[in-house]
Amino acid sequence: MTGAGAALRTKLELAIPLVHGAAARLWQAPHPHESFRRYLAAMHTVVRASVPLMETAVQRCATLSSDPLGPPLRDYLRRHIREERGHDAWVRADLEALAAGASAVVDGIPPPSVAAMVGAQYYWILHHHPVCVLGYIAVLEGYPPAPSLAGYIAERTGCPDTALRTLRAHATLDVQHGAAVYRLLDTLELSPARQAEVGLSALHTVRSAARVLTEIRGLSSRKGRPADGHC
Amino acid sequence: MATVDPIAELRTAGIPVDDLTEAQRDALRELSPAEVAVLIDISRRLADAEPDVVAHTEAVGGLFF
Repeated sequence: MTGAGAALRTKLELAIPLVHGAAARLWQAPHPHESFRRYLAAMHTVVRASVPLMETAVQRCATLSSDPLGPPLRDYLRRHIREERGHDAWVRADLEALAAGASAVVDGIPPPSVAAMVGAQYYWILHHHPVCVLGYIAVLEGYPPAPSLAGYIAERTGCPDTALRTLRAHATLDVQHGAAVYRLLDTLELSPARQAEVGLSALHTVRSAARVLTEIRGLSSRKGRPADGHC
Repeated sequence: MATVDPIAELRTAGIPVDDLTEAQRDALRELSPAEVAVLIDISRRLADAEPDVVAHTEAVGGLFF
């Protein structure tokens, strides 16, 4: 891998331990079942935004008439929309498998940390340049759950295997999808300024993702207290 | 206006840039000031994180898309 993809990997390797540390603290914390339920609920709020986010970026590409990044970015996003469509339903099904009625939690207002992470992408797509979304995708798909995480959670929570289907699927799918986005970055002719914009989007995503995981851990530790109003 | 050296800024913040390959340092030399600021903030958050977490590789798992 050479080019913008390789450069982004270098930046992220310095940052991604923040997410890994937050994940380790989450999965080692007390109340693992509650942590997993809240994790799935938060993931639903992230995943249900993936296709709409990319559709928004595709629409913005159509306005970039003289920008050579527009066509290859649009083509990649259109392909990826097809690959990602319906995954929010997978997460909802996993929540139901965890406990009947558990998926109702996703009807609550999404956590502020998720709004900050995903919302930044909408802002950059709409008010700056849609290429920024590649930084977001590069983090979420470039550093997916470890293949062994599902087994670790099953051991800690005793949850049924049917509640782990999305986690298991993404441990595989996101490796392939992550490779695709880095390949795209390596082939796009990104100016140094555009590379820095994708990098900033990615680093912001890292910081926000760690906050999402930390927030879940904090809420899970309050198990037994009255409902907090969001998932 | 003085030229900012991202590598020097990262090194000053305690990020182990001298452990990287020359190719990696070349990539970091192109960091924008905004990227440097976020990387340094992330580095501080890492330093402030609880040190007692055992880094089980099976417990590694971020978000998914």
